[in-house]
Formats: sequence, C-alpha cells, structure tokens
Amino acid sequence: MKYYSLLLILIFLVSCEGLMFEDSKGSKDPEDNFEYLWRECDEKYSLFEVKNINWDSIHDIYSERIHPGLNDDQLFSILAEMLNELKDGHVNLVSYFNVSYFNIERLGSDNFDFRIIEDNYLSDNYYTTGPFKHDFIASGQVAYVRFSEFSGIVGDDNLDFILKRYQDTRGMIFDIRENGGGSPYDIYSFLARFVEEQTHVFNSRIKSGPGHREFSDPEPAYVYPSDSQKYTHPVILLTDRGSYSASSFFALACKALPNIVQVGDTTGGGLGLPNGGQLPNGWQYRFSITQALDLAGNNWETGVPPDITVIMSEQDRMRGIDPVIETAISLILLNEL
Amino acid sequence: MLNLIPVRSWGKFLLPVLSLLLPGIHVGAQSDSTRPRFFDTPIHFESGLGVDIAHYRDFATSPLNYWGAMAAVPLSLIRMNDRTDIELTIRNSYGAFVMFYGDEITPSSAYVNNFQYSHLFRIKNWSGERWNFKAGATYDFTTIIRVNPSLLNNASGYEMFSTLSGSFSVRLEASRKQMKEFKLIFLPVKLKPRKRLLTFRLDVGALNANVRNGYAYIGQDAVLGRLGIFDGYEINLLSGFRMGSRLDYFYYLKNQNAFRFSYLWDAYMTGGDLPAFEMAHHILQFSLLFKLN
Repeated sequence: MKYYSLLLILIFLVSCEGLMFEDSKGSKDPEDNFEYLWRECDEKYSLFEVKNINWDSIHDIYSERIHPGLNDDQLFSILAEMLNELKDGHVNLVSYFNVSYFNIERLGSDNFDFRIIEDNYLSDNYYTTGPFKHDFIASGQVAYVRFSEFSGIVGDDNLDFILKRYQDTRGMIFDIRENGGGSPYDIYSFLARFVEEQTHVFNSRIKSGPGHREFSDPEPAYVYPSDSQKYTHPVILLTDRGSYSASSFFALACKALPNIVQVGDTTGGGLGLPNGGQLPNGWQYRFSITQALDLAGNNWETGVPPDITVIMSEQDRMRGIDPVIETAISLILLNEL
Repeated sequence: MLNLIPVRSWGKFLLPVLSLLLPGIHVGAQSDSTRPRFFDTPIHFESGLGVDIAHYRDFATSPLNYWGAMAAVPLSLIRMNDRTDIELTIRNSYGAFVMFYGDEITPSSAYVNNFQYSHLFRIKNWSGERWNFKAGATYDFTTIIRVNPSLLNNASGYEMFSTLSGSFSVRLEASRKQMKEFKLIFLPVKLKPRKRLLTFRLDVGALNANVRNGYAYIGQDAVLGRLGIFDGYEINLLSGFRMGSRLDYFYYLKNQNAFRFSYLWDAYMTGGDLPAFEMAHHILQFSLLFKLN
C-alpha cells in the first residue's frame, strides 16, 4: 500500500509541470498567426520611424483579408505581403513550402558584371586568396580586390599576403558590389589594416521596449589598428544596390575613414541586425531589431550613398566597360583623392 | 556585532561538508554507540547513465514546445545515514529536440549542465526504524545551451538558473533481513539478505534567480565588432520558479557498493515581464555507487 502511495505522489509530480507551465500556444488559426506576427513586429521591429511606416494602418488593411477559411498558401501570401511593406531585406517569412523576401537589388539598376571585369580588367591568372579575388590592373599601378561575401573567414594570412603584394601600388579598388553581407566581424578584420589609431566609425542601438522609439543608448563601434601588414595608399570602395547588410555596415564605417572613398551606387541598406522567431503554426520569421547611425547621427537604413555616383549603362555593358572601375582608376592615377 | 551565529554552530554545518568533499579526513565526532556516527558513514562515488526526456519552450522566440531525448551522465559524491544526507552531483545532458506542429518540423539540440548540492537533516519526531523523514536545503545551478538553426539570427540561446530549494525526503528501509527461498516455476531461488532503501525527495524553489536574454533577445556585439555571448543578457534575482523531485531505489551489495535506480523530475521557469523560458526533465537513471572509505 505504501508503495502505491509513493507511486501516486510520483504521478502527481509528473503532472506538476502542467500546473507550472502555460498551456500549449500552438495554433493554425489564420487570425492567431496574423495577430502574433503583427504584434511581434509592432513591439520589436526597429525601423518604423526611419521608414515612416504606419504599422497600425497596415494592420487594418491586412486584417480584413484574414478569415478562417484561408489555406496555408493563401495565409503565407498575405503575411509575406504584409512583411514586405517594411521594404527590408532582413525580413523573411519561412515555411515548409516557401520563403518570402524583399529584393533590395531591384531598387536600383544592375551595376555589376564580374564577367566584364574578368574579360577586360583582370589577367587570366588572377589570384584567389581565401574569400578574395585580386590582381594588378591599370598597368600594375592599381590593385583590384573583389570581395563577394562577408564569409567570416577573412584571415590575417590572407590580408597579409594581399596587402604585401600590392604595397607599392598607387591605390586599391575594393569591390563589394553585389555582396549580400554575412559576418560583420570581417569588417573589423579588414579595416584594421587601414587605420593608425583606434577609430570610432559608427554607433548602434537596439530595441529595449515595445514602443517604436524605445531603444538602448547608442553604443560605439571602433576599429582598432592591426599590428600586421598595413596599406597606406588611397582606397576606393565600389558599392551598388546589391551591397547589403554587412556590406552597408562596411560602407558606413568607411565614411569615418578619410583615406577611403565610396564610388558607384547607393548600397542596399540593411543596417539593422535581424532576429528570428517562430509563429504559432511553426513558420519562422525574422526582422531588424537595431539601428545603426553614422557619427553625425544620420540613419542610412535605406542605403549608404556613395561619395561619387557612377551607374553602369547598357552601352557600357555592350562595350565591355565597367565605368565604376574606370572612375576609380582615374581617381587614383590622377591623385584626385 | 557581525558575528551573530556562534562559531560552533557554523562548525556543525561546515564539518560534514568538508568531510564530504575531502573523503580522507575523519573528524572525531562524539556520539553514543547506539546511533550511527556521521563520520563513520561511508562516502559513495556515483557514476551512472540516464535517459533525460525533456521539453522546453522559449516564448521569446516561439510559443511552441520542443520535445527531446538526452543522454544524462551523473557524477556524485554521496554520504547518507539515518541522521543526515549530503549529496553533491554534477549531471551533464546532451541531446536532440524537435518541434512538430502540422506540417512543420523543426529540429534543435541542447546541452544542459546541472550542479546540485543537497544537505538534509532527520526530523526526529517523525522518524522511526523503518521510515525516515528529513528536511533541509538543495542548491542547484543549471546552465543550458540551445541551438536551433531555424530561428535564424536567434539560433543560439543560453540560460542559467540558480535555485536554493527547501527539501523534504522520506526513506523507507526495505531491506531483506533474512534469506528468502522460493521456486520460480521449477527453479529454486535463494535471495540473500540485502540492504535496500527506497527514497523520495521533493525540492521546492525558495530563492530563484536566472540569467536570461533581455528584451531584444540578442545583443549587438557582432555589429560592433565585439566578441561576447552574453551581450544584452540580464540577471534576474528572485524571479521564476523551480520544483523537482526524485525517487531512488538503492540496492546494496555485500561490500557496501550499491546500485541505484532513479527517476528524477525537474522543472524550472523564468519570471518577470519578459517572455518566459520553461523547461522540464524526466530522467530515468541507473548508477553504480562505489564506497570510497
């Protein structure tokens, strides 16, 4: 009998967590999922005011389209459309049958074609060092370095080799067009080779409450000088609308460095660090929760503008000319920096 | 006057702890010959293996439950007799979790490390020869590392829980004191006298604290070029709740080594205004206890 008593206590305690924890919140109801997603964005998305978005009116517009008879595909389309009102490449909705995204690159014309660069600017045996493709151009006077992704694997050995190889050039072109971003740590590894002292490059703040203006105090981002191989000549940074996220952070940081000039098109933006989460029906979402500000307090979320705007035309493309690179070469060789 | 508690009172608490941690030390304790002397009680080292069926929910990232199975490996030092129980345990669990909901399947993994120290004293008035009741305290420090790639930039989650619990245990002396002979179908079976104990312990969190993500869940260290996994985390004192229990069956061998079969239940959750994290474990465990002294 005593053993049975103990067993009963045990069974009671097994169910105790049911008393401690909340009930299941899973739901496939379209309205539950719509309201959950709208509220998560309302309380945590960081860029409503920067983009002048009235999220309450978005709720009114889209809630009218939500009803219990929606199938998964229809609900996904409505939720994805609502999220795309944020016009943010860091916003996605992910389900087992589709992924939504806002295509930043289509905000501007295509301003990059690596085939043109390979055919007309680089030698057949250009180097690939880690994530970088690079070569001498302009009769060996200029270094061209292509960086297509912030992969997080930029190593000191890679940078030492590249910067030593081009130490006697008159300038360097660093091409991050159509670089969709990745690990921000690469920004600091690379820029450490271009500063002589600790340099404040931008500020960032993060959501700290549900109000659209509730943020932490801005925190500074610093670049610290590297003890390894440096590059002391002018650097031209090439950007376009496809330069997104970590690429935009890179361009923003370069604004604070006087020896780097940005040429090309405005970047795609994406200066808000995204989060991640799950809806009651199991779909996943993400959106931005931080704001990055330049040293003057400006927010360039919609794109970091170039110092010199150069857009590739269809005629340039037909002639195999990259006018952005041509402009960069001219700036370096004519000492116009 | 800061020294409000007499030094001799501290000694009553500290000496058993030191004795447990340093098994080679024997401190002379005065007691009459009819009662078991605490420092004559053997210390056992426990090593075992268990299956930890667990589930968790992190409302900051998902309203859905993740269920999983983990391998649990406990290492303990145990010293117990009729008057006092002391147990020091480190348990590591690692395993896979999954969330099923409709057509969505989301995998995750978790590593849980639990440090536990419990110290219980006999309740004289309730205890007899067969039933032994004890009360005392248990301290738990638990760290959880979770990885869920489907949560994109929130793929990693870390939590820490620190809990001081009030503990209550009941032990049934279920030893076989005489040789028992019977036939199992046609086979004669002889069961020798064996020391056996059945113990149940309940821990109820009294002082709960945790380290948990702040409002935004992730920090901005990566953007700022800083390394650090606890950016944006908050220490929450007197927040949340924890409750646990364990049912143990000890089967002693002639040499005072023992087997221990255990069922453990542990459930904890954060408190406060931010979305809660909650996790529960159901652990079935088999251990070997080796007498050290």
